[in-house]
Amino acid sequence: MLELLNIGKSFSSQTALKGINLSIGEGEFFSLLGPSGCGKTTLLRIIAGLESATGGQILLDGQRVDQLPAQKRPFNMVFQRYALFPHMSVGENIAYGLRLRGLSKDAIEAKVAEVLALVDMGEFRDRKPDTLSGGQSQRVAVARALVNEPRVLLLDEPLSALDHKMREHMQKELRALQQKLGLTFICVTHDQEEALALSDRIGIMSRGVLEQVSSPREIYESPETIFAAQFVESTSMLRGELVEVSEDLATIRLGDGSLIKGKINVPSDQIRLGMSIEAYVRKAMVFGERAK
Amino acid sequence: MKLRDFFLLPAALWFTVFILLPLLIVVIVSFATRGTYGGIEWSWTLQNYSRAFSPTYLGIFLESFQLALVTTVVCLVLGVLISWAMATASPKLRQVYLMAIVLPFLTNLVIRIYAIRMFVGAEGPLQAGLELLGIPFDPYALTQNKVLVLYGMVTTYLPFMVLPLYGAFEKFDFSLVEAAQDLGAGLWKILFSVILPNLKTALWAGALLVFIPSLGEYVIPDLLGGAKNMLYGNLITEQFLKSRDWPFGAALSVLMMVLLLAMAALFRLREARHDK
Repeated sequence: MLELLNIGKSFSSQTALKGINLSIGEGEFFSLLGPSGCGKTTLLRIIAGLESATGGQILLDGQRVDQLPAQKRPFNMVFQRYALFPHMSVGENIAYGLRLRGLSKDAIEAKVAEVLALVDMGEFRDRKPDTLSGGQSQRVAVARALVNEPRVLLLDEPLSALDHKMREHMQKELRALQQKLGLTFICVTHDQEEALALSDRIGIMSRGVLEQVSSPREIYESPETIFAAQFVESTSMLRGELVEVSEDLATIRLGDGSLIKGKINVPSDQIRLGMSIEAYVRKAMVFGERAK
Repeated sequence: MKLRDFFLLPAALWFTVFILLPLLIVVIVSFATRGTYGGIEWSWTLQNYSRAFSPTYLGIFLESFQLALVTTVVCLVLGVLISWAMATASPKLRQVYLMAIVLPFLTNLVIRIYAIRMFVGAEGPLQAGLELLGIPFDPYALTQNKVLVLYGMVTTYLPFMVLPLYGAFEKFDFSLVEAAQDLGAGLWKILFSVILPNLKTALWAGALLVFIPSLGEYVIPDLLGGAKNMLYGNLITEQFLKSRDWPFGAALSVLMMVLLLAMAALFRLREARHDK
């Protein structure tokens, strides 16, 4: 449904994004995961139209949207610090986009009430944003975006301003909401747990490059790059000697003579028995908890 | 007495002796009568005040009010644009802008006003330039007019508007602008529905800081407007200097102060209600 073709962005001296190609399906919860400064937020802002790419195209259902200003794109964004208008009540905040579209007063009222009910904030309609807690502000920000019925909801680190407990709760809520509406969500996060818990697919980014795009399970179980492996969960690196390869399973002898087996990620024409090789080991795999 | 109160004492003393007492004298004098030769006769009357409300003086007041209002509005518009540009500029450029705003402050007002006069004056670059281009002009209309007065007023009071607005813009969360854009708002809509409402306090503060002194301003209109436009400030000075009618001058001053204090009080009231 949404396609990014060769999106690039360079600031005056450095390249922030390098040839990003990505295709996101209808109703998908897609997360862009990466450390700060990897370009994930820039990419999201390019999709929203708040920043312009220096190259590439964005297609929505086959139609180019990258030349439209942010105002005209059928996407809405939930900002990292929510960016609720402090001088307006919750209801006015949510009605803002609808008013701009010239809806009738009754229609606005009805839609605001509906979306407030959806995020379970009905009784906060007349409150000012500065009287809300983080989680409540988050819900209002989501409601303000959703009420415009965007084709894609963009979320910029939506849960990072919340404390740990609230974050887990909101994760569930966000996922439930997305599934209920069947809407496409693109979420930027640096929190791997969050990405793994929420997403249908995850795109791992590093230094302006999409390293791997796959389901949380694949990301976790078969990372394609060392960066992907290390970023998703902390890993230990063991160096040893390659002693045996059968299909994609390699046996490595470590310094003390102990042998380990694992999937090998080296192109077959580069594999030599006896070569020095690095093995990455996840704690969770070695010291796994007993299955319940 | 607490130590803090003790430290406040000099300021309080200074304030009482050099501001409150003189003001009290002004108020007392405003109820006195002008002596035949310009002195003060201590016979109480309200006549000074009733005279202040006569059509002639009311007209002068309205003229001053209008000038102050126009000055404030022009400063508001320019101030918002300038401080917006300043707040979004790169840190280096920001320093340059800030200097450009503050620098004229370091020059004496009279010198600045005379500089403007020189610029538009008989030998000045403006007239020379117009002559060179062959554009006909009236040298008298050019050197002293209302536009020039307004220009002088705006350049003088603009910093009072820009500085509080710049402070507010610096703290302004520009992601609100992006949020508005994202929700479909155009530039004007963003300005009026998102930016200005969030700068309300600074806008009011700036407007007051510009309006209050411009209402009493008399040097700039005198030097740039010629003797043609009598303003409230000039009127008051004349009572004390040329006409030697101190009681009437005092009455005019008291009226102006009451008006300005009322405006400031209104502002405070609005603030207090807003904070609630």
